[in-house]
Amino acid sequence: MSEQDFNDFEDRLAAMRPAEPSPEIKRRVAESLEADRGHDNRPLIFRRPLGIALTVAAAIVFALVLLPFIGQISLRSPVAVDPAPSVPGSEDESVTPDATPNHAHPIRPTLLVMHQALRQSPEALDELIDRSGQLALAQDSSTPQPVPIAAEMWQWVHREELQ
Amino acid sequence: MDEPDMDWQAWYDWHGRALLLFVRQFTSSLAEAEDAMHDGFIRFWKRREQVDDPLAYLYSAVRSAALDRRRAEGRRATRELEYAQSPSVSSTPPWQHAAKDEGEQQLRLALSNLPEAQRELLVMKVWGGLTFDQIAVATDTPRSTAAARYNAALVALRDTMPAEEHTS
Repeated sequence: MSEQDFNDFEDRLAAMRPAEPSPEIKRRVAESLEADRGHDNRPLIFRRPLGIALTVAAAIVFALVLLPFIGQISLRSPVAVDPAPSVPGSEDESVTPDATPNHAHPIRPTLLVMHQALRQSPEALDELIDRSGQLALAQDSSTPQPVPIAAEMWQWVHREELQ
Repeated sequence: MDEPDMDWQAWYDWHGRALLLFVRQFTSSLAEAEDAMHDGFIRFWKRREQVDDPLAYLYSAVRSAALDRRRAEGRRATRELEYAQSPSVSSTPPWQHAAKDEGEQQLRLALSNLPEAQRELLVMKVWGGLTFDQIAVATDTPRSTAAARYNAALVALRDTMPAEEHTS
């Protein structure tokens, strides 16, 4: 069977047109698709692609709303290391700028102060720590301490300069 | 022809005839064929955007629906036997009945002489307009196998059809 014979025979078969389906089938298909379309009228959020996008967007907004609060909690943390100790009630303005008040923990010397004491000598640092400990105990006993610890710290730090 | 923006009516009107002829060969009655065509078309329309080749999937879905019905029909063989023995039924195969005109009757008569595997390929290729690649997808067979079966179907059909039905 040649290729031309094949093509001719195919054309003859194609001309023998199959019967048209019953209109009933088309009507049933229309009803079924309509029923599915109604069933698919779910809230927009549940349609998969848009739902995913909206969920992600909501998560981002939620995170952005919470982020400032998380930051504030960190800022208010009592474990602050920068400020220098200050005695409650002390308003000694002679306090060196280095010994900035530690409002969270007035007795604890700042790292800067301790570093400066260590630069002088290890013994100076020990003395500073002991002093701050004694002051902490004294304050815990609810006995007011009129000693301006910040000023005294400053004196410890700048002992050499003073001498 | 198969534009992605076609609505379901356009798909149905264009492929309905070939689809019914296609699914008819898997079923024992016109009613079952129509049911399978309905089920398969619905399945196709719901998932057409998720497949690479919608036309191949259309025939695959209709074919699967027809085969599912055939498998579910536990008493199909008994029905066919009873149907064939019915005095009101002629000796022609059941799926040839309900032909609308003489041309269609001749068509179905010619196809009935072919094995099912060849018959479905022939219908998809000649009346469905599918390529061999699409037929391979729809029937889950290698392309070369589909082409070979199609050629064999043409040869067999040409041999069985009356001489006046074709020119050589």
